[in-house]
Amino acid sequence: MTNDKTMNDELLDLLTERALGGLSPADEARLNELLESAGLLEPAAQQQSDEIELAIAAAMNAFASSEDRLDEVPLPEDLERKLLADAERFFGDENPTDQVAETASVSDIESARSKRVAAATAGSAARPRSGRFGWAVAAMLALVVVITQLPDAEPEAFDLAAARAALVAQAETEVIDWGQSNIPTYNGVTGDVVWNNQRQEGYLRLVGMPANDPSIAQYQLWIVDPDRDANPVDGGVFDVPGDSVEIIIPIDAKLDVSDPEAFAITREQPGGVVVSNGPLLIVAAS
Amino acid sequence: MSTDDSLLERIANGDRDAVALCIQRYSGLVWSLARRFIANEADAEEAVQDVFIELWSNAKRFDAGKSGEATFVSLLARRRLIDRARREQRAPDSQPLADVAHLLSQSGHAAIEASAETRRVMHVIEAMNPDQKQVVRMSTWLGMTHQAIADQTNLPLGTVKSHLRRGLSRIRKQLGITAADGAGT
Repeated sequence: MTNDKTMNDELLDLLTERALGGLSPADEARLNELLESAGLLEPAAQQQSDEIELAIAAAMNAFASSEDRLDEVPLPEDLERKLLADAERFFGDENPTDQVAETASVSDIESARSKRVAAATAGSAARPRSGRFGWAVAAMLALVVVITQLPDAEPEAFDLAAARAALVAQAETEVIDWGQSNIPTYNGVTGDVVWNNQRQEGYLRLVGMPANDPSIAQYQLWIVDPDRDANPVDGGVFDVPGDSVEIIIPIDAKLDVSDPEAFAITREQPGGVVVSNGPLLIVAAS
Repeated sequence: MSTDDSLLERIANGDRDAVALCIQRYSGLVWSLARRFIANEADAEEAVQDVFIELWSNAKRFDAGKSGEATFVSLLARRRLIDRARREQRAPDSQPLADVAHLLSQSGHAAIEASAETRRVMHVIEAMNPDQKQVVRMSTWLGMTHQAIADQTNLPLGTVKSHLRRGLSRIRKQLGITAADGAGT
């Protein structure tokens, strides 16, 4: 009896330690040995772990609610907007076949999660947005979002992809790949610039572009056209959401462009600048 | 078991309006937890987004008979944050309380304050003897390892483990989980 209790205590200690953050290989082996001795299969052990984890989470909440709060750091203003945008994509892509079976273990979530994460983080350019959560921004969260961007890329993302494809199909359209950046943060960015001189229309396609916080800085496009002016033409400011893999941005040249030689992106203060001091983050040169 | 409005059940049933409410209610809580695990603010924001996708993916799994909603949210958040910390090959932060208490945001506090279950668990913790309470706090709230707790408290490692096991067992009972003080029972 004493031996049984000792074994149960040890088993529970190991399950608790596992739930709290992991076991050493030796402890993991000992846990398996005890589970086998106790005749507990892994699902039963997992249920125990789930219950221990619930207790840990409940304890965390209890301590969190009872400890004194000093100099609280508020939720970042932009985070709620990002979460609402994530929700737009997540539920816009909802596919019942991706749901986890209701009878599955609480820990059996990875497969469904992976699919969901992939859906929610897939290129924002690939999905239409329903705008169902827009009311919450205004009515509930009272979150003021000032978008100085070119036509808002998110709600029109699907159309932008189609518009870009249509422009690419035009004979006069030039497609220029982004060159590799010398700046480490940006040297993984790929994609291209599509520009049609006759139509004065173009699009940026950016893959892997780091997100920006629009309240701190925005990206700005510059069009280098020596025939027109020694100074580059402002191509508009834009934002890259945190969840985007690929994003398409319409070019908003503030002046007519006659023969662009290069397109470059800088990071500027919110709203952009008239003259940039650089540096050039990425450049596409014809 | 819980008197909270179950937003996760509403989400699981296709009530999209509950999604924004869920963000409003729990973003502060998840943010405060993320900041405890992740020092870098940008990484913490990304982690919060990851946690919410996890929540929406698993909304159907929430069982009000097993735990309160805030507890379930914290459970999933904690798992995701630990996974993230492991991927980045670093242990979760285990700073002293004085350094971490300030990270708890007002909205996060409101979310857990509103939970009747949390209040009941607080009563259970308050009723523990000082050593046991300290061990449970250092382990669950500060994220300290058993050995680190033993070193800091000068309690034998076995005593730390038994305090934690029994303390969590009491909380499990409060949650309505029929946990005896032994796994095989």
